[in-house]
Amino acid sequence: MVTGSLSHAFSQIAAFGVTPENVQKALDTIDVQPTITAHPTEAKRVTVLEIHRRIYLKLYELESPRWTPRERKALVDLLRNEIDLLWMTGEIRIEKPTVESEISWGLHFFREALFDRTASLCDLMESALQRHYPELPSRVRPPLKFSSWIGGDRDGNPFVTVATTRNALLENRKAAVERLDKRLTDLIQLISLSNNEVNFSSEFTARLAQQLEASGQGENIRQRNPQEPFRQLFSALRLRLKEVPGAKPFRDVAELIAELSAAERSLVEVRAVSLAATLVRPVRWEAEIFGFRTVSLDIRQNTTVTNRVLQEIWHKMNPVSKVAVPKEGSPEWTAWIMDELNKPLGFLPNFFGISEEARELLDLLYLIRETLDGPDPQSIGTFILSMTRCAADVLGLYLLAKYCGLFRDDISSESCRLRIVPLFETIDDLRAGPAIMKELLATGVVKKSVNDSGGRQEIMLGYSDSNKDGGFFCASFELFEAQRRLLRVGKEAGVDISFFHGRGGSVSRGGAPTGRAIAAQPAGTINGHMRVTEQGEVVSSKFANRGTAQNNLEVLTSSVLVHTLKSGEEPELRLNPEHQKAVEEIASLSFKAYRKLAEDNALLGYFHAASPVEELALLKIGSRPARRFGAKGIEDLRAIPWVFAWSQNRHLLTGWYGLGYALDDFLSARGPQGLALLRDMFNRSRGFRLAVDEVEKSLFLADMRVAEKYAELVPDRVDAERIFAIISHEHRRTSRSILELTGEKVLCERFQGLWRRFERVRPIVDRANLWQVQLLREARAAKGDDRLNMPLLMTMNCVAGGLGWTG
Amino acid sequence: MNESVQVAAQEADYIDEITVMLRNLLRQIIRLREPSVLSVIDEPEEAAGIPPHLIEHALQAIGIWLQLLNIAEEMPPSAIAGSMKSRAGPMW
Repeated sequence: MVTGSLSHAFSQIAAFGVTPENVQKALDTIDVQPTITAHPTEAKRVTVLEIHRRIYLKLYELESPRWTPRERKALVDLLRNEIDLLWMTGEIRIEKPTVESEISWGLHFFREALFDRTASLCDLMESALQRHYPELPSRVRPPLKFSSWIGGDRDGNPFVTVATTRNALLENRKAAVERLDKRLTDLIQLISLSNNEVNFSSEFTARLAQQLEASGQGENIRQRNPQEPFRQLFSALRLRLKEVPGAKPFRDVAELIAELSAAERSLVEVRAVSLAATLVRPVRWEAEIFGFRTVSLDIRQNTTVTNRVLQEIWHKMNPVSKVAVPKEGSPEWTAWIMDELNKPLGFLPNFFGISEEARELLDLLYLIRETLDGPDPQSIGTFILSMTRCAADVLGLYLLAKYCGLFRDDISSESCRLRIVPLFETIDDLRAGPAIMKELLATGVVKKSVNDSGGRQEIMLGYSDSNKDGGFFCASFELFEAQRRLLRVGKEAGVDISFFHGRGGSVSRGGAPTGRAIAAQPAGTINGHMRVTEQGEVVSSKFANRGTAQNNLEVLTSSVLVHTLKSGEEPELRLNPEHQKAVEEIASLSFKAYRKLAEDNALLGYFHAASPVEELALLKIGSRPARRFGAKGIEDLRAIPWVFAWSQNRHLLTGWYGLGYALDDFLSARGPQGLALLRDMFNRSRGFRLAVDEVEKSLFLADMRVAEKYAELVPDRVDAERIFAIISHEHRRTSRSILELTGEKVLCERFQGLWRRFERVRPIVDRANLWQVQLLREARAAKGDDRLNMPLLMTMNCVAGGLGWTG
Repeated sequence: MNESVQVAAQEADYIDEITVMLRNLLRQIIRLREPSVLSVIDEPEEAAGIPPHLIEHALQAIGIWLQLLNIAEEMPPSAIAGSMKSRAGPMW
């Protein structure tokens, strides 16, 4: 049985003794949401992705034994042509992508693979369920839906405006409607049942009449397909979907879904069970999954912006006040917000003469309201509030939503329709998260809004910033701890909590293999609901091809199911007080070691000189600027370039630094008993093992001989040698500790796939690294010589491609 | 041999097989377009001597080779899962 498949998942669940009732309960509520972001490490142009797809398909075709030698040779010739095209096309983007091109890039994966394969996942699920739980009804509701940030995430991206968000919503809708139109056209062609051969029920005949009437072209349709009621039905649905003049558009997606379900039932009634299951049901699934929207578009903004706008509004509302605006987060500020939230609102306020920033945010909220009132309210997802530092940050957004008519009740003081998701990113924020949520969930308006939106509060966890802030091991620990504590807060408040994992592709940004990463999450933290970001290069590697897309979606769904149904009883996830105490100690030591390096006065200079971080801006990989304005210290650097640059220069310290010191210190205090405890944790605690595994992989990909060449680029030789010595010493120490713990002779002996893959490419990646060092030196010496940019960028693509590790 | 080891071995063989073919095809293209950088694929350790004006082409060759390897590695999970499912019959 294939590991990660749904069949494997159900067999594990059945072997674990999970009752059919509990399985059914999980299937009724499961909600998995991959969330696509353009962020911003994806360097491949769509043209190149298309060539890749053709190569993939030709390799797939070559698998077939049916070809004659001549046909086979012709296929190989075509494959060679594609490689030649790659040579002549060029991989590097010349122009920085616009948000519009990022929107097309995201939709490309739906058109090529995801529309098709997500629906077929439901089919796999039904088959697997039938096999392992034959007593359960085999009808499943789709477990997956998609969200996107492309065109909605404006945090740090000035190019995302209300106009671009509106455009993203339109493009997403267009893609979904085009797809459904195509599928209905297929049904018109295929389902040619005739009145002369089959008798249809009066219910079906009545529904058909209604649809023909609503299409506005009933008579034409009847004449075009006389005696063929299904062709008539799907023709009518198609006209309504396309909103052709005279046709009555669907009120909402549910109306289309109801008609497709009725069509299935009618086919079953005339014993065309297979036609219903294989032709109509997949279209219904697609309508359920993608609606008229393709994805739910999330909005993201930073609290600095939402608070600034609210302060401006405070000034507008208190024009002659002699009292200064209360400080954000102060009790006075919170009291003012609460006062405003509790006040009944007779009419929506109009704000004139406000700044462009405030206008933009308020117009965005109006756009959200308009979309929520439209035919597919799920077109808008959640509002993610980055850098949430206190409860007032979130309450402030509730207040802005109130001013823009986003409350359900007439007086706008009880329940907000906008689903607001706080994002906790830094170590401090992760630690403060539970107290913030406790305060929020004790606030009437928040509690009522959550209850009215389904009783679930989503919380987003940021993997990249927490890693930059505290190092890999400490961040992993804090992320686990935050989830446990937040779950408790939810339980106390009587609210279900679900988590949105903001991860990237690399180890440092939480990018462990899906199945293992999910299996290691603390018990009860998934509970059928999981959102996870799929960023940049990960999107192409997971979803560019149909086979791979289906495989990845299946692994994601089955892992969520298994965790939901087993995690509460699994010994590997049970909190062991001795293990917990030890991990806490190691995390704290690791944090100390990492912070010592991060706070070293020379590190920032070293980082800038010994990595291509400055030159990274030349790589046209995202519409978002690569750095914050006025960035001075490490805290001001964005996490993604931080990780990217440390991987380019083969230090990869964001994936391992801190753990070696921590393990050494832990063992020197505890001696052989400490080692026995660590080995016990390694064998029995899934979370600890995952962290150790990922550290080991980073250590293996790092290369201190290559890293030293980068250190030679640093002008201050004393600092360079000192910092490099610290890092390389830690690399040796961490490698030694890991080997002692795992019992291996060399790093990555346990991960044969990675070992084989990287050893295959190591010589060419090293070569690309050495040329990168040479080119960095030349480019910096010849400031302004653009001729060196292209080869330099090519080295970055080569190193990233070779490591399989960008940011 | 347990099932996961067996699958991993199958995957490795599969990748090796595809890789040999793709490498040959790429070598043919490099010979056609810029034969002087062939060494970067054949003996990367020896490629330090490639003259500066050809580094861009050498990087192009590396870049394409890595892209091809990534495609080859993307194949097995879906191809092997597919073949195992079809061997096991429709209930898988």
